[in-house]
Amino acid sequence: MRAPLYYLTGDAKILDLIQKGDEEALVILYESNRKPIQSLISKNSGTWDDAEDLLQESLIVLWERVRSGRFEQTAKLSTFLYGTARNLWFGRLRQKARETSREIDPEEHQDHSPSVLDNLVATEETMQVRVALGRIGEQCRKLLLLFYWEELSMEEIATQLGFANAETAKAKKYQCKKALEKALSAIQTK
Amino acid sequence: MPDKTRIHWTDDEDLLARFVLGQLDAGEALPLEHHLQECERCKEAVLAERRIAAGVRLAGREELKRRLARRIGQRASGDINWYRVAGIAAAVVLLVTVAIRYQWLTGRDSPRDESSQKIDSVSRPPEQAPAPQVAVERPSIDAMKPTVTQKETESLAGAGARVKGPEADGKKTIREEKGKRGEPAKLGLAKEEQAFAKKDQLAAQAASDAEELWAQGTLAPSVVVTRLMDRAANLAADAKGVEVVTRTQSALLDSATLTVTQRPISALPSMQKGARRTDAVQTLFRQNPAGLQITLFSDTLLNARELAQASIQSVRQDSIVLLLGNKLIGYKTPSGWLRQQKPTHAR
Repeated sequence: MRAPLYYLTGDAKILDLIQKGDEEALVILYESNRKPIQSLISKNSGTWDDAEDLLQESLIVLWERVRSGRFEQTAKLSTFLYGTARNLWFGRLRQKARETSREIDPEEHQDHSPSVLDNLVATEETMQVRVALGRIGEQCRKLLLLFYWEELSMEEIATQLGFANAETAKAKKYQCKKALEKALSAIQTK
Repeated sequence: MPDKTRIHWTDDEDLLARFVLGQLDAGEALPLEHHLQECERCKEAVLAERRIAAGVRLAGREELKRRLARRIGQRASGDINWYRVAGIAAAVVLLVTVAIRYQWLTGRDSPRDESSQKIDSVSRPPEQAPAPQVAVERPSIDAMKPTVTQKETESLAGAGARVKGPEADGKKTIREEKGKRGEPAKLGLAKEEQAFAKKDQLAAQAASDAEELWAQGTLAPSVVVTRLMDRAANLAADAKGVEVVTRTQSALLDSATLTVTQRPISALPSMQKGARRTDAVQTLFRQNPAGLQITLFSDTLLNARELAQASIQSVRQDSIVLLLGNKLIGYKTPSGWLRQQKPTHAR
């Protein structure tokens, strides 16, 4: 009996590349999905720049999901990207509509829902973490990116960064986090 | 007061990270969430871990976006569209064929007369032009020395003028023939070049006088403006070195002027396009002795009234909040960048 032959489809090849961390996969997807997304955005009062941004963001969403093992392929990748870009765009349009349709109401002084300043401050703090990340060592920066952003396991991090084992990676991660907290504290006290 | 003696689940670094990253299943996460409701210390630990995770993710996304933009840019500049090249080549062949055919039909390919030859020789580039029929005498350096100084030579040469030499003694030359048409144009070009050089010099001077800062503004919805003002005032009271400025407190801001303008995103320099966050307003701050100039790059954000009434809502050591009509935009700035002057309302 002859063994069956399996061929990877185009999407499967791309997912395989992303899992291996090859960013060329994103360029391939960018090129094959640019036109439909430009068409979608331009038909819905967006510019070409908006379309570029949304496609890049959709690609990053895909990258994050695949790398963290949270991507379940239920449709073609082009459908996923189109749907993600559409959701992001309509979300932005809804937000803009809310902002422009409502005037300042003094009565809203009484509203105790979470303040946007909190969000603003939170955003500032997030930005501070980003800045602090640039001030710690390169290996620590990579390790924290692999852990918090790519959500790789300690075993995977150990392999990627050449540590002896997962325990070593875990100990290193603890040191790196402390270094980040120190850098963050230095920024905040300035 | 937080109990520091008890061992809490947030002390387990691994569990804390998995909780924040959403890697626990519902059965594992639920009791931890219940515990959070009664443990202030744990809440703080979760909040701090969330901030770190969010900041690291933001950095990861931005880096990937930059790398992707660079790869796409490289690919676009390296690709040759062979269909387009073939199309252009076909069009050129067609044009040449039509031109030859036209020339043949109108008899232009008959032996040329002297005047057409003369025109041709004048219009050809110097290296291809046939030897002139009238001899051209070039002025020697020695001959030039007594009449023109070095400085004058440079300025004249720069302006496209020629030094008077033996050839100017009544002999009509091909160079003079060329000069009749070419020199006024040359002089015009030289003037333009000088004007451009002067503009460049002024721009460079202005750039050196101004301090520039690119910042990404986070837009806050309009509905919270009043609340935000209150919160900002509270912050001012709490935090040392915070200045809060509202429209009614303009006395604080009389020392400088604020100019706010808006430009389309397409006008962003290419470097800034790559760095632009889609959920933020890319903004150029320029400080110079005349005041603070803020240029917002946005296609849809503002109208003229909002621009005219813009004001600085609050200035902190490392941030600034801009009020535009009923919109607020928060910016992160390098520490102390805005301390040098106190901006006031737009004019």
